[in-house]
Amino acid sequence: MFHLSKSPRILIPVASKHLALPLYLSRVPAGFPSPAEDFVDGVLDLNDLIEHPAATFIVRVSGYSMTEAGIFDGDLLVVDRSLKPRSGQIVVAVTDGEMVVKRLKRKAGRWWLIPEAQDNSAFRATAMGEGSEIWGVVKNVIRNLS
Amino acid sequence: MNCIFAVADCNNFYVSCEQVFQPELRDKPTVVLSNNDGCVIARSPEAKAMGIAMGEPYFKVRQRMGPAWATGQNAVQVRSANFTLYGDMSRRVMDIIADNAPEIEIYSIDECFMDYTGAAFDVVEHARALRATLRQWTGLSVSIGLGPTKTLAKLANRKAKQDETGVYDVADLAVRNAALKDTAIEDVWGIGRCWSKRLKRHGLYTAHDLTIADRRWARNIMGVVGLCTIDELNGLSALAIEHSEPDKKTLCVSRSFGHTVSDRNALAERIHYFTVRAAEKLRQGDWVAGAVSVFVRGNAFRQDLPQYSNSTTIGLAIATSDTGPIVRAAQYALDRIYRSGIPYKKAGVLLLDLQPRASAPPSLFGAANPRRDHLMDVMDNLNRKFGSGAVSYGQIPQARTWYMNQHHRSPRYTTHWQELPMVK
Repeated sequence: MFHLSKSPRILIPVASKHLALPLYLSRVPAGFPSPAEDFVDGVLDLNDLIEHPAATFIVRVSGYSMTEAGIFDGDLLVVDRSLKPRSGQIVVAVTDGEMVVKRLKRKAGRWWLIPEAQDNSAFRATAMGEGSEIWGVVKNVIRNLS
Repeated sequence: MNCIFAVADCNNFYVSCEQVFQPELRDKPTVVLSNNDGCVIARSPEAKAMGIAMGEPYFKVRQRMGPAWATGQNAVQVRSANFTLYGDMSRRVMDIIADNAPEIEIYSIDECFMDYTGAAFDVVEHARALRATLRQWTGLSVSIGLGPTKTLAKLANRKAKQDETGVYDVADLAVRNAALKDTAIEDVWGIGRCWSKRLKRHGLYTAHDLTIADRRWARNIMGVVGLCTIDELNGLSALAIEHSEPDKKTLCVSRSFGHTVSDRNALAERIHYFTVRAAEKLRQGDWVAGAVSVFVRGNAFRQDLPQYSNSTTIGLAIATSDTGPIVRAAQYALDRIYRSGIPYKKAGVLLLDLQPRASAPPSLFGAANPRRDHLMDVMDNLNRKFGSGAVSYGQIPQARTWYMNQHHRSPRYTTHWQELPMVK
């Protein structure tokens, strides 16, 4: 479960005063520094795409009830619980004590969880009632293509 | 200026964390067991109603309940402590609160103080909105108590738990007096079981009785710390954010840094120091800890700087007060959350799942090591004699011994790719 990857480390007592020295990004044994050095500005971090980290959870899809919406078995869904659920959005919901991913629709004064499978005869739309609730709004799908 | 403090406290925190990801547990009697499945450390309201006591050994409850334990609609659902999950959910809750409240002090894994003093808005409205946000963003229910002192805010929090809005303010004198009369003396923050017994012998039964007690007499019984509690109950703020004693379940050592720290080793040094201090405090109280949590935080007041905050929790194989394994777990935790290029403003170490050493279950993995105990004693004595830090724990030896015995642990839904929640 847990591994210590690092070799034993000796810690230096806090008592010493440190002299902060600038760290260069490229090693230059001799000659000129890289002209790009002044322009290094970090890297693209996929975490930047997550607007509300404290409210964002990742879940894994099991099954084929949403394939027409481009969601397949094994996909990862990025779920943002801070978003207000609206009709037409894909959501993770709790119904019958189970977590499901479905399209949320408002129809005839009721909220519905609608599957979008290739063969919809295998799945049924369910009206949300007592004991069911929206868990969070699906913001992204992550799938390995290769 | 009148002070305004608030306490936010997650309801049935460990059980609620389980329910967020296992909706089938909702409305069912559910208990969470301590490390190595020893005792009950959290109960759902349904489990409380069945008479399952806090701290009751698991095998005893099962025996006592007989076949009713595992059958029918009321079958008790059992989960092993999943501190990785609870720690991550706690981090989310604290981040949301820190983004919304002016100043916060993380008091335990499921509880924090906020200082609203000088707020130019309706604090009760703000607390209600914050509570709704926390519910939606994390799925957890939080109660918020408000008052002119930390002790009164804690008292208000007890009322908030019974109030359906989940928010209770004792700023109003009439409301406050009613709440004081309604709170048993042993439930006052800072009054231990020991003091409350003595106070009851002298005819003091409620928080209100304490507010009108003779100060000289009270000082004789409880010393200055007790006087401080009385002042606080009378609305005179004596405890500021950050300087309170740790509660029984958790022990926290944290600091805001004078200058921000970005370097990994510099941060590790500070975490190391906090951990050593926390372990010392742990031994002073004759406690052992079951898990270690480390948090780091950027400078939220400098939005022009890169922002990042995180925390993670590592369970210890054997509940211990030995600095060695606690330091190793803390450094491992830091490795998991450290990010370079962030000016860190604050960091800290929390020791969780505390229990008295005497009642800690013996471990299968290794008997208590008297030589280690002796070493810790010697270290503590030297530090007492020559000043804190005279002898410290320098080297971090390599070891992988913090595995646990957890037969009913739920997946670590929010921190491990292999253990994500499944949706159909």
